[in-house]
Amino acid sequence: MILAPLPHNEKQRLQALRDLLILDTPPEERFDRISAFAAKEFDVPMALVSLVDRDRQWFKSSFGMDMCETSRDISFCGHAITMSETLVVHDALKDPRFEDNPMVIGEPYVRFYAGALLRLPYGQIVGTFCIMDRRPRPFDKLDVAILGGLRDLVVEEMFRREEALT
Amino acid sequence: MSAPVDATRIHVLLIESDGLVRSTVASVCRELDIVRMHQATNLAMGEQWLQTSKADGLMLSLADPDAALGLLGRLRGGDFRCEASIPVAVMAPSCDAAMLKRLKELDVRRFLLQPFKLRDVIQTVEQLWPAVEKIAA
Repeated sequence: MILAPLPHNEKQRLQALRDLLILDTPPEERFDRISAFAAKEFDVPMALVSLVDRDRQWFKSSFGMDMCETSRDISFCGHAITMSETLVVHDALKDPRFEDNPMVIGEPYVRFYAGALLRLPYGQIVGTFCIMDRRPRPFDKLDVAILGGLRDLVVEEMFRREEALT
Repeated sequence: MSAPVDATRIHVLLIESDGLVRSTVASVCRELDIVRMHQATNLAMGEQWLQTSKADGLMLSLADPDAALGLLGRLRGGDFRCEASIPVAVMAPSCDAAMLKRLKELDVRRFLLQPFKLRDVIQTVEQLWPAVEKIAA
């Protein structure tokens, strides 16, 4: 397993995440609806709104996963937030970054992952909207665009929430 | 011989009340430069848009079948700014023989049975409004 590097702007990124006042808040239907829709659209068992905190990834919405957070060092999303585009892992067992990851060789046995970046309007990437499967699978340009479209709705909802708080 | 056409010049109106479907389809069309998708949340807003703007195509939810088919009838009758013969696709949770006959009479090119996948909607858009113009060699 290869640990994800820290984003170059980690300090500002964490501050932007904390400023959203969303961490450790209860589940909300408007996020859960998008996760459930994505799971159905892509025919996958798991879909998450995952926010990458200092040492954990915390799920604002989790479809098909019992846990509400995992440690950051085993997270796929920790890698995704260092990328500039959607991270697609077609088969985790064939990817040196994830081949012996506890989430791959144990529950929930992730083989496929696609995570679209939750990028705030001022540029900070606070997490991902991601889908996972227990089997490897292809994911084409249209799939990436659809996941990105659903991700845009998640970001919109995050800001609608922030506006309601202020 | 064919030449690419700027997809943003193809204007398609999507009348769909489900914001998740509507926004995502519009977003994907924009991202992949398929067409310029305009959005209306209901038939009244869609009709208003058709009265003031020129569409190259229409995607129409039949959540309220009578009203939706009424709008489509007016479109085919030339009541709006667009050509009366523009390609039309409809989306509905069910379809009986009577509705199918009516859709054929109104020259509906595609019928999408709900629940559908967004992928099917996007592929329908790509098929009905390809951004390539055939030019005689």
